[in-house]
Amino acid sequence: MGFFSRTEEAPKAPPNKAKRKECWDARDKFFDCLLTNNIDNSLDPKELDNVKSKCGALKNDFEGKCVATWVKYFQEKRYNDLTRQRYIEKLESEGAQPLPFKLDNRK
Amino acid sequence: MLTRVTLRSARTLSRPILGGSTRTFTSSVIRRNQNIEPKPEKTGSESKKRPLSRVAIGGAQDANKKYAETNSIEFASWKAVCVLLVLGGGATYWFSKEKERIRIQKEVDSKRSYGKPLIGGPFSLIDTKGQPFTHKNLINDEKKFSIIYFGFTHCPDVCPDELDKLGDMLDQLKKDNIELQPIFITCDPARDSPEIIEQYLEDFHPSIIGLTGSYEDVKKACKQYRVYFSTPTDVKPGQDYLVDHSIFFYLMDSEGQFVDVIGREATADEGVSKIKSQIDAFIPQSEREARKKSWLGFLYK
Repeated sequence: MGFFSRTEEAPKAPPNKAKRKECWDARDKFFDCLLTNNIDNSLDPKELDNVKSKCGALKNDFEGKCVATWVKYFQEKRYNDLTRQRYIEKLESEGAQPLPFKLDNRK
Repeated sequence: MLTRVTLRSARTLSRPILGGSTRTFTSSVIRRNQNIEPKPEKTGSESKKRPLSRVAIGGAQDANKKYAETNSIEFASWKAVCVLLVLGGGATYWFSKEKERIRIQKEVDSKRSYGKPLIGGPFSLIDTKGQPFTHKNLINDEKKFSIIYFGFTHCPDVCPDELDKLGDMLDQLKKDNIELQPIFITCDPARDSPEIIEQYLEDFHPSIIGLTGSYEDVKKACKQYRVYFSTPTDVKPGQDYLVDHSIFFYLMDSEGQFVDVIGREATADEGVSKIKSQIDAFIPQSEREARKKSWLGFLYK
């Protein structure tokens, strides 16, 4: 773990506020496209062709404006969030009740 | 007739004094005098027609009315109801507020009595100016609390959101003249040099203090705050990566003790009210001890 050194290359500056906004906007547009085309997991190799043909331009824009790690992270997160949301909906449709209190109950 | 009148006025003189108010007495005397003269004014036709002997001593009806009008001490008058509502409401509000305060104080106290604080402790890092910054910098006499956040500058979405929230909270608190010492500690010391952190924090709030240090120092600081982070192990220099870490704001009092956390699901407003109530309930240690020793000490046990 601790063997990482910053001697070889100057550390890259992180995206600033403007860059972040640009990236997030591109991401939102790409995700909107995925939503309208019913694509859940845009990282799934089976879906890649589908993604490319339907939202290719937006995907390129997204990848151009965000750092590579973010591109991957956001797509993973979207899929996780969708799965989670569906699971909650499924539980609720089966009559599960949400907890009557917040886990952090000392608001 | 004259003699009768004088006799009557003598009687009216003595009776009302026993009865009470001197005003009724004087007015009735005047009335009597007016009755003697043939031009009656407002005594009313009733008394004019009746023989004087039948007129009630003290001009009964009139005097009674006056008594009821001028005296406002009645039990269910609207004034009394208003006074009751205002005082009662005020007292209820004050007591509930005070109750909440003591509850928070007791809670903080109980955390304190575990001996060692669960969260927080000594650390030694450097700020963006290269100056050392340790746990001692949290301690001050101005009751200035600190709020600590752990993150990293390459963070994709959570940290920027949370730091924006921190900026909002600081602005809101400033409106109420509450100053906090906001601190950002990086979990990614390899990439986050003091200069990069300084630049990064400019986007959020000018007062945020950015801290970094050697990997070991940062790791130690994170451990004190029970923050866990994982840097990927196989990173090559210059390669991009993300750091997983816990996301909480830690509120520390001006003695450097942990008081509360603010989670991600809390809005800026909720955070502000939490901070305010904690600051409101905070009592410095010297005062706390004095309080326990005083004769009212049993109240705080």
